[in-house]
Amino acid sequence: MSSNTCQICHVNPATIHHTDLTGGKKVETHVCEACAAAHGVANEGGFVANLMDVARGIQARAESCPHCGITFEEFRSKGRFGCPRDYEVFREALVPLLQKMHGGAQRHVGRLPHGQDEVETTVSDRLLQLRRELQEAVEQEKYEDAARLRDEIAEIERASKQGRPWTSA
Amino acid sequence: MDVELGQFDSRGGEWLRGEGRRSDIVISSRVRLARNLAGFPFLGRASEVQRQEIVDRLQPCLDHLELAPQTFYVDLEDTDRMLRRFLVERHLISRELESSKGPRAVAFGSDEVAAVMVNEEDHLRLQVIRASLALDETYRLASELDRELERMVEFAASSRFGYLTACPTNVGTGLRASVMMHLPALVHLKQIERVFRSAQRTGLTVRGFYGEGTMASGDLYQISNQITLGKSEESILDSLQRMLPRILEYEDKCRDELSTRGRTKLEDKCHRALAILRAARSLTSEEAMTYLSAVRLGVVMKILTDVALPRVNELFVLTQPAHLQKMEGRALEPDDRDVRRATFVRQTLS
Ligand SMILES: [Zn+2]
Ligand SMILES: [Zn+2]
Repeated sequence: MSSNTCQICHVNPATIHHTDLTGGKKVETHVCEACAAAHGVANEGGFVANLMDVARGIQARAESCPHCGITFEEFRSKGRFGCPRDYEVFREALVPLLQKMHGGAQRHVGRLPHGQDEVETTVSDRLLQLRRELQEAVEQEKYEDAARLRDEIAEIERASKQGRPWTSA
Repeated sequence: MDVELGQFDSRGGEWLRGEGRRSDIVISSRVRLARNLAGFPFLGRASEVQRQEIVDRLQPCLDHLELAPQTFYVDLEDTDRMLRRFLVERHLISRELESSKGPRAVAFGSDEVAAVMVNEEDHLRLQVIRASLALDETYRLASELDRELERMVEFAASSRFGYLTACPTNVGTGLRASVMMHLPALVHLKQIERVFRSAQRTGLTVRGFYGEGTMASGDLYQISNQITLGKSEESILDSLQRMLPRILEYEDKCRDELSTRGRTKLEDKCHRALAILRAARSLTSEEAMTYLSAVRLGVVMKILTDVALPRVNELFVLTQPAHLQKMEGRALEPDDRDVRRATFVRQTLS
């Protein structure tokens, strides 16, 4: 993204610049004075912290989910997510929304599958990714890749179902 | 197995039987669980092939559930519109699932207590409906079926957000519990708005007989929880159950008031409604709902003694357009439908 134009309105030239390096990730923020004021970052003391919040919000909105391609803006306009990973991908932007919807709550306290305390999602994340690759391979008529991906999906599913009392025929 | 219209119980689902706790006011209790398969995108981002894969994968699981007493399965993609509408009127599928496109299905027990919709807003929507006020038993059955499904497929969930759903309004437990209540006295004394407002303040939602936008039909209202995250299943059921006695008492109080202050007026209203239903040669759907409501009130208040409560409950569903057309065996124009409706109501209540 260009550092000359405001990242919020995409119209005015950016006159306030900020670079955040916390967490080892470089996040640059460039906004105009009007937008900074509109986001309540005009007062001296809270300046940096607020600007960082705004910056994170902008980042989150522009990012798309690597598993399904949806952006936060798209989610906001449709009201539906694209895949289960979106809850983690857009977590920061999502939490305030969840709190509004669920009377302040932002964390599940009910039961989880199989009565577990924790859910391991690495296998399902991998499957989600492979299914996306498979779909792309089919669209691009790369049938050898598609066949390989199908085998890989089937293999992972077989392995993850081991030890289950019921397996599909 | 695949189902045909002829195989449905001609008296409607078991939940219309009108027996059990507070069946004078509460028609039914319903619990719905929203679930998605792990490793698949949600439906908004699923390709046609993936949607079909979800249907194909879930069908054997649904067979395996062995819903009582016999599992019926309907492939909704290649079924005709009439059957789909019929299923909506039975409360077995949603209007959204009826009118959407692509691979989708429903499985249900032939007693119509449990039903599982496939590819509605979420991959899987499990519902259990029972007659009268019976939320605990209803939830228990839903949860047993959920656990049984869990042994066959992996559901999308995370430690932090619980069961992951396409819409974040359902995330967490994915649980929507509701009761269908008949509240004619509150409507008559213009107190219903007040009930809605206080329900909303406690995190509950109020809808009509067939969901949103069907308000007031037959004075029937569904009251359900809104919050699904940050509360356990038990606590969600508990908050709903704590609110219900207040609504029940309020309706009771209004019924008392109607019967002490204007007994003759009330009796006149109920008898008149029954007389119209027994005599009319043409009835619109709205008229039928209105008079049925007055008759139902008359029956539970023992003003009308020669009509059985289950017959009245059933008529709320059996007089719907697709049901009448099913009875007739063909599509009917609205005018002919009104005549058919009147004939059917007359026969049932005479
Ligand atoms: Zn700007
Ligand atoms: Zn996604």
